[in-house]
Amino acid sequence: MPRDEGEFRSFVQSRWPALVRYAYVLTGDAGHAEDAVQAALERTWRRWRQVRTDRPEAYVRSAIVHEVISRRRWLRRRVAETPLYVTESVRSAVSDGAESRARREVVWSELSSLPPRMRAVVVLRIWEDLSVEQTAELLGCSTGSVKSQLSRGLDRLRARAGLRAEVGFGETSAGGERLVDATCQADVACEGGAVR
Amino acid sequence: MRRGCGSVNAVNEMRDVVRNTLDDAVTGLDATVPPWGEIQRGMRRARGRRLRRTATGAAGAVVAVAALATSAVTAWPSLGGSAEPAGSQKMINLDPDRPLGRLTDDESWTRGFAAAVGRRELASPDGEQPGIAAPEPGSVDVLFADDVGAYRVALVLARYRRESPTPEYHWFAAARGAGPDALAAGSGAVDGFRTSDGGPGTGEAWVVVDPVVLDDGADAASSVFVGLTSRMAGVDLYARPELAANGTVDWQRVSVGSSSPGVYTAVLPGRPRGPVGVVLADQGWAVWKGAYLPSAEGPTDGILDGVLPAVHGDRAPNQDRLAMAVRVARAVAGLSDKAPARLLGSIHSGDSEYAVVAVTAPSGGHVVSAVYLPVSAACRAPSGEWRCPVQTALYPAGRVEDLAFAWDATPPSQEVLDTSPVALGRPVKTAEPSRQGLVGLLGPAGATAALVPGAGTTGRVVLGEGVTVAEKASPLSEDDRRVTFLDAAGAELATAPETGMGLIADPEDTLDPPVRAG
Repeated sequence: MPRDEGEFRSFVQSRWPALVRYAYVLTGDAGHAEDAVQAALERTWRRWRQVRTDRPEAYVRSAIVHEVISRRRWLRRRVAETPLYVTESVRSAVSDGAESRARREVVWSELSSLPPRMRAVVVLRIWEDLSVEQTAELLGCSTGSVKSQLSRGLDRLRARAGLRAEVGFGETSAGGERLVDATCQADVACEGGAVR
Repeated sequence: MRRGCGSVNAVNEMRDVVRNTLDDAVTGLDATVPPWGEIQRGMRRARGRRLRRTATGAAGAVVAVAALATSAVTAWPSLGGSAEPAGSQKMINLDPDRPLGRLTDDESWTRGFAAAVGRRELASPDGEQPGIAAPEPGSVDVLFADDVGAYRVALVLARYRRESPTPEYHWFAAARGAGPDALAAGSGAVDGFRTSDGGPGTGEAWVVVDPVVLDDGADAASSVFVGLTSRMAGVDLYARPELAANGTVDWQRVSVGSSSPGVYTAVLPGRPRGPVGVVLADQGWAVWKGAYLPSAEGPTDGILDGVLPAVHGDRAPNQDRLAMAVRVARAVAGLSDKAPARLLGSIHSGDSEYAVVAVTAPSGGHVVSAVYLPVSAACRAPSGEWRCPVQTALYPAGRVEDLAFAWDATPPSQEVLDTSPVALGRPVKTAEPSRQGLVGLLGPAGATAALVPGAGTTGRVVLGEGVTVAEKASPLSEDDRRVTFLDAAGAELATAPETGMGLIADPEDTLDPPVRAG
């Protein structure tokens, strides 16, 4: 086996679970996640000698993100996996722990409704804990776009009627305008309503 | 309106909920590593999808050979042990320790050439911009040097950019018998060179050198091809696409033999015009390796002389866009700078604009190009250099009157989509233009609507006069990316594939050469 291939194979086999999980939170669908990982790996292999010495996982992760948000590469052959909503009658009968799980199921479902790029921003900023600058660089957009996408994403999650009822975020004003906090804690609300 | 600490807490709680939700999701996910063979098959499928995508979205012969290309891509080029033919010349790599070509036996010449390369900066393509500094000391290795036809050709591995962790391939050429200091560097598609994309990671490299390299270039009668590959059993060149009156394309195919292990050379008549496709075949398998697509960028002087006025509407698009659209369409069709060109239409919004043109081949067939550029003063540097990405969609066609053209009109950046497109002054209904991308539409005479397929749904777009850009209801299905044009009675007039729009700087994703079966 050529050395390059051996290195690549070793890399893939060691990082596969992490890469699939990463793609899964970006796509919300296990099948799509594997497709995205395989496409990203195919792209990576073509440039393996350039990237193998320079953070190959970062390259693959970047390729996964772009694979997911690229509408041309995004194959919607399968219906996305959508968790069942927990109805009021069920919710009233479950314990606190189950209620928490039910809340997360609702959030997971609502995340699936976000446009791919907006979902990617939410995932990268909140789950991957990337900075605004890192997220912007990864997505190839401006920091302002990252802030606005995150703000809009969280707004949309909060604004879903079901989610408001579940989680208690119903603070969009009556006129529909977004709410801005003057205290602006780190990474929360900032001028113009953007979240950084 | 402002909110207080309670709202801040709500935001933080929301973030916690999202984080915990995603943690829970991955915790419950089965991410077992599948067998290596299964991963390989998945990667091959991904490759096949990519090739099919470009096959339906590229220029020239793509339409004619798309089916062939799709069926021929059956082998992963180098990953699968089972796909490696027994007895292949696999171990002949592009290795500095084992340079190829007869000239590398001449140590004096090779040392002199490496030293000359090490002293020299690489000129910018137009010769006016600052070049690239000389390579890092000690980073130059001569991989190949030989005389081929009327030329002396060499390939070096050198690291020119300090920020690059790995060296890259660089081709050099001059007239046959030239001294070590006389070889000129070339890359991409300038100064008489057409070179393969990629660096050492590809394992292969190829170049087409044409008479522009020579001092008396205008009088030279031939070009040469040099391909260096260790894995393949043969090389096919596809060049000189001929566009027929009905829009179909035929390529001239040249099978290139191996002059020595790992080295494939051919002398080509005249100067290749239009794109060049290179197919490296591996004993029954076929993979395409690269193509050259002419650049749309360049000076605008003269290129618009004689361009016929717009068929649809009277808006004059930005001259940069129009010039790029005309240039790339002529170049892809292999037509001269004076080939008839006509603006078919243009469309613009506050921050984006498209120009669609058709150039006419002698046969009467056309190559249609759609060029997108962001409208921004920042894109044009004071020096005239174009700074923004250029996207081009190309499509061969017959009569303009019958043209059914649909292209992926999604700009490369989300930011430029903030303003809804406007079709010839009339707004297009786009609910949320940034969500799923845009599709450009130009139907045949009499078309009043178009059906745009998506994932599980088909959107109906009312066409304006001329070019229309509309938002896709969802990404077009990979399996059925054809748009149907309808007349006022709802009858089908024509269908067209959604032509991809790739960055012009990325020919691999913009133009597929034909791929032959083994």
